[in-house]
Amino acid sequence: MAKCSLCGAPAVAEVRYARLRLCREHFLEFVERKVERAVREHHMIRRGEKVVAAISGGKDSATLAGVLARLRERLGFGLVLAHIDLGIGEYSVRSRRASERLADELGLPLLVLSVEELLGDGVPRLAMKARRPACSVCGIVKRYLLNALAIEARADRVATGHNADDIAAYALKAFLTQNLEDLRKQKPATPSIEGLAVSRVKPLYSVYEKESYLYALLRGLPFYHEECPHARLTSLDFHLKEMINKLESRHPGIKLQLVRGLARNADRYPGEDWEPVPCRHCGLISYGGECSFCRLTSRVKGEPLGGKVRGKIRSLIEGSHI
Amino acid sequence: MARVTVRMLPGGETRTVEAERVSDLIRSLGLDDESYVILRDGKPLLPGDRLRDGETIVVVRVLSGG
Repeated sequence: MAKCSLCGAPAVAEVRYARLRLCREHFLEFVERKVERAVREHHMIRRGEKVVAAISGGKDSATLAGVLARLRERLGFGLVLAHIDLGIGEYSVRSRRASERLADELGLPLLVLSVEELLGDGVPRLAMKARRPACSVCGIVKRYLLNALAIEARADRVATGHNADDIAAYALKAFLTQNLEDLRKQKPATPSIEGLAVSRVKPLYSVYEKESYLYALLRGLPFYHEECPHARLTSLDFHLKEMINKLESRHPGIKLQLVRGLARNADRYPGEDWEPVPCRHCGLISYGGECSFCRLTSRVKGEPLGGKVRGKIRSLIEGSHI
Repeated sequence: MARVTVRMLPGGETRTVEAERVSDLIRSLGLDDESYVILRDGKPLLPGDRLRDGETIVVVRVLSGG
């Protein structure tokens, strides 16, 4: 059995790009240090700030919440968890349960927003009525609800569990399709826009997907490891992830170079031509005066629902004391 | 050479594979080490670890789909 390069205990993980084999304790410390370094280097979270960590119930959210819970005292920030129940049948039921167990395990407050309760339909029915792919509707709804929640909770940051594999695949896709504006969006931290949008941060941007799984497993954090029924293993995103990992097997460290290089250089890529302005219906961020959530709900529900949804979220927050 | 039962996650499909070490198992399944975690009794194994005849191994695809 392989031994830990640092202490000689039985190794449970091999980090090839760092030429290390690590035992449980040293692996957990390795991941936590990597996240702390990323948070400090990119000024993702400052002392005294309030952070909302978006958790889906999967391994990356477990790792995100688990590491941030450990860092919050040293870095001096407040942490609450938020879960969006997407209304995707049994998958959502189990994801919500895993999120609740995670919050219990870490002793952190959790706010759950149910798409069905807020809009009367879950994501699959919204997508069917909008005649759009479920993943595209899901993206619009999740982005909007998280931002609205963070604005109403007066949070300073929304932290998401995007890992290095997600970012590398997204960056490569943006390059292949020459959507260079999308490369700029892969920054580890985006700034807040007063009253319109809360800063987004990706503390796991340099953590490999495999490391994220191993962290959650070895730390004993609850998570649900099943694929969303709408995810497609034949998608370009998935093939790109596989391709990058084949490259990583032959050239250990290439994925880390890509995501760290992109974090440094993202501002060199072109930005959007449009200036963000308040949505005329709900007041949150839009490009052109109507946000994509109000546009979607106008189409599906006959009226823009951003303002009403913000009001419901405000009441939930007031009732929850987060 | 050990004969092991392999359970693939997510999904739960099972199959039988003959391999001496974890690295041979990964290769014979046509997988790559970066995208999978191999577990024995819930504990991760490394590529050089030896397999035991008759045991059940869980192979977890850690990559999420698009």
